[in-house]
Amino acid sequence: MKSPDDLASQLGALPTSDVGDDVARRIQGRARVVLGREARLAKRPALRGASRLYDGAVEPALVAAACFVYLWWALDQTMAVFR
Amino acid sequence: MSRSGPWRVDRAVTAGSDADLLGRLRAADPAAFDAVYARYRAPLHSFLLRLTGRRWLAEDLLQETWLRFARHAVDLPADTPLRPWLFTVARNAFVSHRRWALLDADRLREVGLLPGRRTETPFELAAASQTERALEAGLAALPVAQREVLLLCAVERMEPSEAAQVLGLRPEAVRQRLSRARSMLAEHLGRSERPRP
Repeated sequence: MKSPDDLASQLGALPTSDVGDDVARRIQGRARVVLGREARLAKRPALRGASRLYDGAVEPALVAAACFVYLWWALDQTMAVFR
Repeated sequence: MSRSGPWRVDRAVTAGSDADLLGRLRAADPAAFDAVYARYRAPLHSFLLRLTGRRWLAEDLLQETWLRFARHAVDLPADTPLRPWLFTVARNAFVSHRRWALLDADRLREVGLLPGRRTETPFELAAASQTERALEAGLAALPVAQREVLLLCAVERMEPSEAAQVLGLRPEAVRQRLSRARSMLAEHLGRSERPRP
């Protein structure tokens, strides 16, 4: 059984793992696009509020509503086959 | 895998403390973003890879973490501790993934729908020594609550107060959980060192 100090130093010496260059560049590029957009929006608070509302509430609600309507239609069509 | 720990190297070579970088980020300075990204990319990836055990998932969650950071960087209060903030976002992304992943392999194993034997993590496969492999296997075998506290306090060397911020617990609770996690890991290592009959 190892002592807590031994264990802590061994855990602290475990290696780190980085993503590959391509993945790192892709994530950085996407994040910088978002950062640039946020910086532009920061100068126009009203537009920023509207953008947040759209991204956080309107768009998810539209997607959920579209899924619901499609499911309803699919169920209706399926039941029509057996009617 | 890097033995020296890239963030420790990057912290030395990348100019500016976290507070300086945050000040520049609040003005949406892309160079400050790049510096934060270089400093914390590998530690966050390692944290997520040890939590998930799957490279593709760790990369997805890493991207989610940085996109969320980019979205909120200009709004962060000037006194925000950057490292705990980033690890909190990464952990929340992982917790959120687990909540929605109905067919998560860990859960299937817990309810007995998958055999108990788990596959080796990328860290185990790349381990340089037997001790390192045993430690990685021990970490991977711990329940998530114990694994994450060990990753933050022992691997990332966060203070219990910082880890408490990340985990949404009181520092005292973090110390208790850490102590329990260390015992469980030591027990696991003891079992794996014992020769099998």
